[in-house]
Amino acid sequence: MADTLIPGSPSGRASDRPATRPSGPHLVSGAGTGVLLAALGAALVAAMAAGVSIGSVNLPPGKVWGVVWAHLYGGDSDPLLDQVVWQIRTPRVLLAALAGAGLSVAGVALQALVRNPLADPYVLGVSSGASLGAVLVPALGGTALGGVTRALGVTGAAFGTALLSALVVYVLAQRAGRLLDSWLVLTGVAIGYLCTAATTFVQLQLEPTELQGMMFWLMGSVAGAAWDDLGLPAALIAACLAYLMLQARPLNALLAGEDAATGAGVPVAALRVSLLLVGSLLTAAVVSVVGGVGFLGLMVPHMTRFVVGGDHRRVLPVALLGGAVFLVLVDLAARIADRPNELPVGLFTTGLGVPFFLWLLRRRATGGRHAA
Amino acid sequence: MRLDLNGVSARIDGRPIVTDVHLSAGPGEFVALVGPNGSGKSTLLRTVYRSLRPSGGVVHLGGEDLWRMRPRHAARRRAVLPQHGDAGGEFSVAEAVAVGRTAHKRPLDRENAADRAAVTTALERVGMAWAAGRLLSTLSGGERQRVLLARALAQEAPLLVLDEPTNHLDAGAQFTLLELIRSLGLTLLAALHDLDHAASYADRIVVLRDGRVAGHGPPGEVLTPAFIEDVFGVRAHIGPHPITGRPHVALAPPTSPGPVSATALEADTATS
Repeated sequence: MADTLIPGSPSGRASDRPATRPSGPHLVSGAGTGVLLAALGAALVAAMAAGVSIGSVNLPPGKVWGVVWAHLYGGDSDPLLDQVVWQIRTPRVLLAALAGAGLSVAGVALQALVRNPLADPYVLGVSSGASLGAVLVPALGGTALGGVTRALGVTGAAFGTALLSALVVYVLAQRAGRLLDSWLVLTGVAIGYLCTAATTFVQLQLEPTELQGMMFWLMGSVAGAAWDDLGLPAALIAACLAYLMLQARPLNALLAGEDAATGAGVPVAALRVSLLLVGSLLTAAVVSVVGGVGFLGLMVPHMTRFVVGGDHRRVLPVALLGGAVFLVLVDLAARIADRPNELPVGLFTTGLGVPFFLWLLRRRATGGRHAA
Repeated sequence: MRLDLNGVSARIDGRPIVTDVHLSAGPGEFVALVGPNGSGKSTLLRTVYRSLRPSGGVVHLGGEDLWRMRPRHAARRRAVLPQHGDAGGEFSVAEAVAVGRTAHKRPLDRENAADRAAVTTALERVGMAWAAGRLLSTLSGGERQRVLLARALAQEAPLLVLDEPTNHLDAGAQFTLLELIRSLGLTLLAALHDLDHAASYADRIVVLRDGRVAGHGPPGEVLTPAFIEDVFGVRAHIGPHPITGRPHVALAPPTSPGPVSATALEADTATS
């Protein structure tokens, strides 16, 4: 039947065309994805090892491994070395990996929600929203709570305000049920400014002389990370990733549009609510410990799709590992670019991200291939 | 699979767009939905996609209330090809078609032989198997529309709902698509803007005007010159198609002059 129709096809080039590679048009697909994930895992270990070894004092890898080994399997190590490796650098490098992974996955979730690759926690104002909630906790006397409760309190408050700003942007950027690039970005930037202004105001009430704190919420940093900072973001990122992986097929369908996704059997309204929640939760989990690190959720998913295509079953794990490697390396660069001073990681991600963002915006405006 | 719309009404932002529509399509029947722009065709179809809940009436699919079914259950009975249905993102043709398998998969299921066979068969039926490994965004408009049709076919549902499937396609691609969907043996409900296509391909026609059914029945009975002039505000001539012999609808502006003489037409073609 199909054969009889092909001659009438407008292309007139149907059956005589050579079949393309069965593996598909992406740089990496099929079994290659496993290899890519293994390579990214190895790259993450290497980047973290470099991150622990290199700093204001460079340490030989052998000594670093000695300390790590002593902590994991028992044994003695030099107390000073232990302090640098285990108490300062290891949690810092792990936090950079977690933040990179979390923000990249948050970007994937938000991009699926708005069907627009320009979405990113920072661009949409969700990061600024999370910052506001995080600084509100001490302002409201949350410091009275100790330990885990405090961590939950800060992340919880950050989640609340992140969700609120994401919701406001999502609703205000709609034009007759569609999200246009210009509206989305402008609304996100406007809400982001509002939240940043509110954050600054709250901080000035708290600590009029403390400029360092404000820098943290504007530019983000993984310096001063402690082991206690890692548990909650790690748990939240793992839970969100697991949920998104289970929804990978519906996420693919969602990119085809609301009607097509509904037609394919996806409960679109419920899925969108869950994506708003997951995107805000991931952003809050990261921002409440590292501050405003921008554009990672834009760059990493885009590079990921360039390599593995749009299927979320590949995009999610690759973006997770890719984002972790990326931020560990950026943090390393931030520490050695201006030794002995340290620069905030957010400075670097924004410096890389803004040109990337502008390039993507222009390409979409001229190509129109992905126009929303 | 039977589709019955029983007194369906729909509102958008509180405004009534579709009012008390009765419509049915029996197994294997091709029902065309026609009507002027803004008459509510797409809105009515969205109540069958389950994108827009009817404000009144019931949509029955095989005797069951479509809106009371679980989403997956509904999607195995009814596939859709909506008007704005690009695939978005960097999907290969095979990946885009595999989206049609969503309703057949549980979250942790892997792709199995049945899924691969459904995707391959769907692509073969639309004559696009050669493009399985291509990026969807590299195809022409007609090719892309056939891939999106394959996505709906991979769903393996007995009812297919289409919203102006020939929109933006060139003449050849339009006929390819119409011939194709009619050959599928599925129950079809399609909004069509071209009255001639509706007359040539559909078993029955339902005409919407201002959200209400203005007429329904076999093309030959519904599409009379007086009715078309009344609903669409254009003059019409109905007769056998000079090439195919099927019912043919020729349209002209309401104020057009009389027929052009054959010699004048020839002279006109020669100079252009």
